[in-house]
Amino acid sequence: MSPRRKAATKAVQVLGDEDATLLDIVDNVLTKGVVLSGDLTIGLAHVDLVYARLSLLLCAADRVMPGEDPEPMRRQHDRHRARMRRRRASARV
Amino acid sequence: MSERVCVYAVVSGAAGPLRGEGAAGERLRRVRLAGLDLVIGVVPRPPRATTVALKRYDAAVRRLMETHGSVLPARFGTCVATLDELAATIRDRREALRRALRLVRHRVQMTVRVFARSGRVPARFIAEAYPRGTAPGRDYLLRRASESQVPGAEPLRTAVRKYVRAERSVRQERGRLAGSIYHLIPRGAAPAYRVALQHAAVAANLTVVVSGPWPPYAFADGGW
Repeated sequence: MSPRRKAATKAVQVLGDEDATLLDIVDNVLTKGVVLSGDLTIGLAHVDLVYARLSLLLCAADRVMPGEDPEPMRRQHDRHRARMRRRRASARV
Repeated sequence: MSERVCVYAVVSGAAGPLRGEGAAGERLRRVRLAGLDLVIGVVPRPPRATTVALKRYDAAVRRLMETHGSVLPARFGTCVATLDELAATIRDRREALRRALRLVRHRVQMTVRVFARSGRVPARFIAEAYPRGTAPGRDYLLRRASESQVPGAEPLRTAVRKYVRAERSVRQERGRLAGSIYHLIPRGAAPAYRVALQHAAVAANLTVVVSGPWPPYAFADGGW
């Protein structure tokens, strides 16, 4: 057996042939793992099934952000504009 | 919309070329930034959290386990605009990431979901999770330390202690789910770990669901 085939066989044994359930995958990839940037950018699409089961696992629902702009600078700009609108509105009162 | 650099993992101990594709079918690359090796993929837009994408992401991270001694999986959706931005982000965390790489070297994660037998989590399970100290300050610290402990799970921990190199736990107490425990164990120890844990669950009259081995997601960020 060649070294590469030996390595491949050993690799299969390292992780095994486990039946990875969707719930465990969601728990792992959406709520764990290294966060290396200030903003996580995720688009929401057709995740009803996942979202329903997220509540069972108490996954962080903020991993799913419906309707949010994926660009952090645009979000910051929107937040700033919203703050300025609130200040103008309160100044008029 | 400009391209995004999506991070799959911080890695070390490479033992071969990268295999397979990323979650969006993109080619994966290993890059060296700030003294660390990262696996990235360049995509036209941020990833969407579909079931298919999440499964493909997990599959890509699993393949990294086959060719690296240490893998710190990134959270799904970890994207930046440029490699320079990524390098600046990780530079300050270099030492913490190196410690985490040493911790997870040649190790995998097992996940244990602990359920109450019926109805809600028994009151005795909750009560034992809040030990009483001898002073208010100590009480507070003990309570904070125990907040994440899964009540009633001590027999399970005892049974698998010899395999466990690190543990994370989350109390849930939602319906029948008492909590989740994540154990970091040596690669290859998963079968023996499962047997020991399941025997302990039966003896303690606990309902548990064990899954794994997984890449060490719960140990990648040094605490969450």
